[in-house]
This record gives sequence, C-alpha cells and structure tokens, in this order.
Amino acid sequence: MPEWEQKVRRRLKSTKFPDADREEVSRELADYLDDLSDESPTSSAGEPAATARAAHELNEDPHLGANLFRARQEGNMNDRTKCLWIPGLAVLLATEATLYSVQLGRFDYLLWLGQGHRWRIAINLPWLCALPLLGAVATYWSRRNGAGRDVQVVAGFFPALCFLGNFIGSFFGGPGVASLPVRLAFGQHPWGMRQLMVMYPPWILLGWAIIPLAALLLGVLPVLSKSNAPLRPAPHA
Amino acid sequence: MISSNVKRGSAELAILSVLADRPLHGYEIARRIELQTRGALRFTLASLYPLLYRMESRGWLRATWGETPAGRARRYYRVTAAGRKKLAPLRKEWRELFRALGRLAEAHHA
Repeated sequence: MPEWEQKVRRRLKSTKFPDADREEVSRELADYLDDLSDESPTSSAGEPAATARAAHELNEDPHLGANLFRARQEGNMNDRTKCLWIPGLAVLLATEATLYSVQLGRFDYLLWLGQGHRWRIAINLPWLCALPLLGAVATYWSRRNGAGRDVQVVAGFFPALCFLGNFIGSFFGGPGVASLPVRLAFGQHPWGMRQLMVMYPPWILLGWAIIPLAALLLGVLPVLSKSNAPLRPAPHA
Repeated sequence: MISSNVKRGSAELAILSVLADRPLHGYEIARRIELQTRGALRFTLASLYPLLYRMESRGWLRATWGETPAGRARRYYRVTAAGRKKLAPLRKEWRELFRALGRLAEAHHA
C-alpha cells in the first residue's frame, strides 16, 4: 500500500498551513485515500485500479492545497462578517468619504431645512444623491455573499443606522467617541455639539438619520426586489 | 452553466442530509452520497474536503477524532444545531428549485 500520508504531505508542502493544521489535514486525507484504496478486495476492479483511482483523486486538482487552506481559514470570517459588517462598514466609509470629497471639492450644494425657524440644518445635496447608489451597493454586496433579506436591508441602511447611533450616543451619552463623525462633520467643539443636540434634536435626527435613511431606501429597494429569494439562506452565525 | 453557488448549495445539502442520521468520516460521507443518489452525485477528495472544512468553519459541522469498528482512527463529522437549522431551508429551497425547473421543462415540452 502506498504511503499516502507522505504523498499528501508532499502535495501540501507549498501551502501556508500552520504545522498543527498541516498535520491534521495530511492525516485525514491520507485516511480517506487509505479507505479508497482498501475498497479493492470487494470491487471487481482490483487493488491496482483502486490505488490508481486514489492517486488520481489526490492529484486531480492542482489547487487542492490552496482550496483546503482557504476553506479552513473561512472560519475566521463568518457569515455575519461577510454579509453585514464588511459591506456595511465599507459603505459607511464610502458615505463619509463622499461627504468630505464634495465638501473639499466645493460641490456642496446645500439644502436648508427649517427655513424661517431660529435653527436650520443643511443637507449636502450631492452627498444625498450618492446615498441611493451606496445603499444599493451594500445591499447587492450583502446578497452576493449569501445574506437573507433582513441582513441585506440592515447592510443597505448601515450608514444611516450608524448616524442614528451617533445621534443617540451623543444625545444620551454625551460627547464620547460615538459622536465623533457627527462632530467632525459639523466641525463642532464636543460640548457645543451636545448643546446643539440637546436643544435641537429633531433637526439633527432628520438631517443625519431620517433623510439619509430615506435616500438609502431608494437604493436598497430595487436590489431587494430583483431577487425574491436570497442566493443562499440567511446566515445564522 | 450551473453557477458555483448552486453547485455548492446542492453539495452542502447532500452532506448535511447524510450526516443528519449519524456522524460519518469523510470516506463514508462520499460513499453514502454516491450510494443514496445511485451514482448521480459523486465526491472526490478534491471536492469533498474543502467543502467539509468550509462547513466546519461556518459551524454547521463539528469534527472529532474517533475510532472505526475496525479500530482505525478517523475524523468523524456530525451536524451541529446551526447545521440542522440550515438543513430545513436548504431542503425547501432545493425542492422549490426542482419544482420550478420541472414546470419549465414541462412547458417547453408542451
């Protein structure tokens, strides 16, 4: 009987497995090949044919080692990470980057809410127009990674949910880390920001959560409606 | 062309289904699937193990070393609670897919 374990080890030599993993994988694959070649006494093909079949299975895929390595590494990134956190955070980052870009490029055409009141809030129109696209990207990304509809929706709304979290954090928790992006966006001193939020919560809520949420919804809905069923069922991780 | 998502989904269903009854090691899983599908589905080492490891990474399967009745050490896979939760929607999805394909085939025939 060929020394399957040695052959497997040779086959996996160039992969990046940690030693303990390589040991276990080599042993397990060798066991499989042992069982496959032991099939021979009961099959009509005989031992040489079974051994040849085992050798063929070991060598049929040139990317075997890389595939096994990737599959073992996948545990480091579970479904929720792939379906929610990565699309959501990437699009949040893109949302913030878009806002700063339009401000730096002086494309910040402002829509003023609360005209006639003592306090008004400005919504950056080019940024607002970009939100449906960003919402669609997050939803599609999440769907491609196999998310169910509920996770797709959360990924699509992720930036607005973070803004809402910032608002709640700033309003109830004071000027902590949670309110940093809003503070930066407003260019406000922390205590001034808190004062602003406590005094005018509806405007802040409207400008930083409700309107962005509605804009994101415009992008989320078409992507959701394109597919009645997810590519794979919702993750349970 | 059948997409890799569909292929992977069917393979996941096959593995979860055969493991739903009792824990099996890799070779047993491959043979059981081959027998139960009368040779229509066949796994090789290169197609089976990356999938088993991926399913294990996702927490659908749990593997432990055990002994065969003949006293050989083998790595046995069992379905976890998360894997069982996954099995029911997967079955439903595949039943729906085959029903839809059946309707399509019949319509084309008529």
